[in-house]
Amino acid sequence: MAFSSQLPRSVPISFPRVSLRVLLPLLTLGWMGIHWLADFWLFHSDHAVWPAIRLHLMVEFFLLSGFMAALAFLMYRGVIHRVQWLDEEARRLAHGEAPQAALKGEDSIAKLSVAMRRMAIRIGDFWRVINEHAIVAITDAQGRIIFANDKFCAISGYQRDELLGNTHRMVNSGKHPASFFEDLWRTILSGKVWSGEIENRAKNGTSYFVATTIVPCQGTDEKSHEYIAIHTDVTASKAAEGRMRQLSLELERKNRDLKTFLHAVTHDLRAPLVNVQGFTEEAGRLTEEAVGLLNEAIDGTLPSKKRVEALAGGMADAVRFICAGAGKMDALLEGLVAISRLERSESRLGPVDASTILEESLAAIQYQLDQSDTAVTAGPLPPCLADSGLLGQVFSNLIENAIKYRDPGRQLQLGITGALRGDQCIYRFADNGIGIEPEYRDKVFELFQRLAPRSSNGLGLGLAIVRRALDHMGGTIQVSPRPGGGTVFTVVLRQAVLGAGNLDN
Amino acid sequence: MTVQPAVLLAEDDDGHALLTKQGLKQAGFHNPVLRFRDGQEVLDFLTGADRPAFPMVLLLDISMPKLDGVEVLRLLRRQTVFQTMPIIMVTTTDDPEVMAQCTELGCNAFLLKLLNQQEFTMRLKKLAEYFTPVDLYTLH
Repeated sequence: MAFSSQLPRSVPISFPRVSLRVLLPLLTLGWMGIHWLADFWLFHSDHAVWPAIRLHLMVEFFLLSGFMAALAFLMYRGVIHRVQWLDEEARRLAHGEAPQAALKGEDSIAKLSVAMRRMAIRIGDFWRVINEHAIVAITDAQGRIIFANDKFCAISGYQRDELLGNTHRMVNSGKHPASFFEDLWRTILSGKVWSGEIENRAKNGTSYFVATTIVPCQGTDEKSHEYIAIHTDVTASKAAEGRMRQLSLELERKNRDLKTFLHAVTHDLRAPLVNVQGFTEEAGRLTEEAVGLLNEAIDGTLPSKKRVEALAGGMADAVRFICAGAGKMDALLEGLVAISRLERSESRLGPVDASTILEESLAAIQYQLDQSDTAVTAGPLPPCLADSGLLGQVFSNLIENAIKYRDPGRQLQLGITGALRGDQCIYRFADNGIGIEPEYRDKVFELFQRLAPRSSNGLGLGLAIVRRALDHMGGTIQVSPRPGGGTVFTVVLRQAVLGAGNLDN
Repeated sequence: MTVQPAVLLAEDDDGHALLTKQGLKQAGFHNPVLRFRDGQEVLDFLTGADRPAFPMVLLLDISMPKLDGVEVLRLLRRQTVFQTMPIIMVTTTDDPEVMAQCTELGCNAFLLKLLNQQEFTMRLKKLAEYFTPVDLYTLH
């Protein structure tokens, strides 16, 4: 590690100084030895000096005691007190308190205190950087949170004292299976590091994603175990990832649509043109033939009735196909414009009164309904969350579809009903028309897909518009057979939340 | 007069069908033309009991309701009986992707519904090499 290399490799011994340390006991021993010899000599030489010796010994004892006391004091000041200070400081640092000023002096204890302070400051810096960058939580061996940094409090929305003492279950989103956390615990309990991505839930119920590393560590005292967890908030990148996936899906769909469009332009738009061109030529040929016949008539040879009839029939056919081709081109172009407008439009979702929209749609095609002698029964429709313009297109296209594919053998009956299921709004369009065979039930919503021959009046646009309009509003459509023959289209949209604004028509 | 082998025409557009029939006539083919309005119809006919013994050629439109021409081609070529029957795709599109797909599936030729009826007739004539009846009962 970087800071350990800054510690001195060998601590030079400088205090107590060598001279003093050796000198003091030597002096003491010398002093005692000299006096012992002197006493011995006095004891054996003259008994009259005994009292003097006793006095001398007493003086000697007091001097020696004083000297020893002074020595003990010096030892305490210089060594024991300072080591105790170091011990106290180490304990304080272990509890996360700020380091104090180092001891003064050049001796090794002072140097040790300087090194310890430097180390503590360095660790403090690292700790601050980590807290600035990441979400940090420390738990005890049982998983109870014993430390939560500010970022943890901020992202989870809990106060620190709400988190402390609780487990991480407080932020559990419930999105991970039990085996996920079992694996996590198995890993860290065996002393290994666990890394992974976790979806958590904040106090206000929103989800957030964290990239997590959990390291099993020794606690502040030697017997306890702790788990230090460092999380990085990856919610934004996760959301961006999701958005990107959605965008690429949308792009794919648009690409597919563009391809269908291109195919439509080269094929479906060209098909009526083939008729227009071909039958114009045919008409020209027939006209030449007619002119020939007329010239013959002028010359006096009258054409047979059969020839004239064949000519007239051919001409009528040619004109009919030319007109139909031009009409079909026009309708196709109109439909393509409608679809491309739909693709470009920004839909505005709001609560919409579906009953009113339906009435308007029915009123707009009243003429066709009368012409086809259609019996419509429309129940009240619950309001839904939609774009009123798009919903109108959905309704009128579904009604027109029913008219187009009615059973020529019986009167068309169209029943439109509405219902609510949960937060969904369900509209049913049931007709007794020709029905749709099961294998074509998904195909009918594709662009330019018709089930009837091209010569019928279907263009393969109506239901494609319905599907696209519903896509824009987050709705769905399904088709199912109606008992007794016919088709039921089921439109599902979200229910309008009451009080979310006025009904917008 | 001997019965000529039939030309099978799968085409959903009435106008196109009429123009194709006229093109055949102008190109000198006076064979009877059996017309089908969608892919399913022609498939049902060919796999049905009363299929003709010697169809001359199948003129197959690509864009048809229910079952499109490409699907019909795929389903026909899968069966041994239909592997040598001449099939000509008659289409408005010249999309290379679709054409490559059809070639891979084993169609014999393409006939573009060109806007010029005379050219259409001329091309029909040129494709006459495929107009050889195939016995669907003995070829197995």
